[in-house]
Amino acid sequence: MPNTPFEHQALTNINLNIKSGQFVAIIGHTGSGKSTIVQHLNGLLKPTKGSIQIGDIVIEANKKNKDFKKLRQLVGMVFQYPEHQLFDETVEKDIAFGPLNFGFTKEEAFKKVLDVLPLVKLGNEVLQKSPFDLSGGQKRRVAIAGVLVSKPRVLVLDEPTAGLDPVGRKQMMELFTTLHKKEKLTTVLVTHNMEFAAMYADLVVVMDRSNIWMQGTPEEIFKSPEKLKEIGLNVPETVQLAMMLEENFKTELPKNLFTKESLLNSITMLLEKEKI
Amino acid sequence: MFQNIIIGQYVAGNSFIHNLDPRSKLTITFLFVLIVFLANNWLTYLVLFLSVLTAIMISKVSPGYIYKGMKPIFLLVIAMFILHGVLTKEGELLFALGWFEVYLGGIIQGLFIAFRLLLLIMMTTLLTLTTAPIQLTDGLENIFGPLRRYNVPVHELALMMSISLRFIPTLLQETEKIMKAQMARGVDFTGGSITRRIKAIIPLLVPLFMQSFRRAEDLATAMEARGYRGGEGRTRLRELEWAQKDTVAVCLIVAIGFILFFLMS
Repeated sequence: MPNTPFEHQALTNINLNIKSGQFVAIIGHTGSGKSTIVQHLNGLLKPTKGSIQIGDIVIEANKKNKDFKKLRQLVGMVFQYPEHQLFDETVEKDIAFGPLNFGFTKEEAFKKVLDVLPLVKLGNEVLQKSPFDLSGGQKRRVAIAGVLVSKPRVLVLDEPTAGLDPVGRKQMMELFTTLHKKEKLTTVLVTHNMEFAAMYADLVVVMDRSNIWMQGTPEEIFKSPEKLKEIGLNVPETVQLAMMLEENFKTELPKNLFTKESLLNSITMLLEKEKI
Repeated sequence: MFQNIIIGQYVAGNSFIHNLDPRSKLTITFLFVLIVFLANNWLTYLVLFLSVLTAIMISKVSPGYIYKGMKPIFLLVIAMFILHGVLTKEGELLFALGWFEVYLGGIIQGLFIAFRLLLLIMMTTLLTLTTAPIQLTDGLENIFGPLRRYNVPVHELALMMSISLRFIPTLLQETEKIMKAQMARGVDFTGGSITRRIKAIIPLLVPLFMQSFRRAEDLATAMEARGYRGGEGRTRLRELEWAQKDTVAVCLIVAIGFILFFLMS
């Protein structure tokens, strides 16, 4: 809100390159500018200075851009609590809403709906139901299907697991990683969850007070807990445990222990070495 | 997205006006509304305009911000001006186009009415900008308290008002969020024909209503869980306190009223 007492600069001096096919996690505290960054990716927010390029579409400050429809079809965006955006009478119509806006015919759109349902693990029986009669988890899947149905090449996820139970969270993340691999998507995940960032991302971007605090592979980011602690963040629990073990046993463990399984393997190896 | 709407918006500050008791501010605004209707010549409007400007200066709210917030209302002001200008047939005939005649009296009358509206809006905007909504309703509840004897549900009305005021920004935020989500799915809220634009509102309104109902339910549950059972015997965290400066401020507006009374023709 420029020129009001509530004016606030949300992002300053951001330089970020995302290669196509990458899985990027953006982490940081509430208000650090995570959501603001990703809303620039499909032109929902426009920069006041500088430019953004996605594929061959360029968004520049102070310039009218008429390619927004093309851009928004290219960049799919799943907002926090996406189930709040459901509105239509039936699930089928709600999912088809995007393709219809992007200029597909009704037949094409409804065919796309059928294609997308298995991706979010929903059966055809929900199609004619009202989206408001579904359970919370199903609603979210429908909303996500409503984004995926337009076949975006870039998928932006803003806290997609917020408000889900642990099992739901894991299923949701697995859904996105499979999609990422199968459809060769470029995925940008905004999250508070260090474990997810460590487990799934190729590139981790840490935000702090409107700036990029650090960026790199999970190994690079999580090898220096001090730097993360400076801005009140911590490394994933598996890494914390591995670091404690290293200190206690005066040994070296691999730096990429981001899943419970890999940590378990390392500990088993450690124990077996001790026995001998 | 909604940067121009400042109704119910409160800008925290520490000026003389911010620190007045909400009851005195409400009384002053009420008296001002009455006084505005006394004004009927240039001099009286000048006095009123200067007093509102002084009040804005004292409040330290940036005039640019108030101006910006009033922009959407200018259309109404201009419409009032044109309506009165065309329909009042008094004084000298300025020009005529067939049946269409404009009189000098009409122009002056139109200007006065537009000016009056502007003054009223400026004053009430200043009131909400310098008074937190919760203070405002506390003040109202207190002022209308005596009506309780006549079975007027004063507390409930005040509560309704504070809840609605409280949720204006939330609703705007929500609207912005859902608009963005639907825009990401290809909706164009600003382009296309009128019918297309009206159609584009449905995906915005339905979720908004759903959310509001849910929020109302949540709020009711939360209030009940905290033992809310109406205004009977409720105490306050912040007691209203009438200070000397409040008396001074009310006296000032009464004085302005007297001045107007003598200056009006």
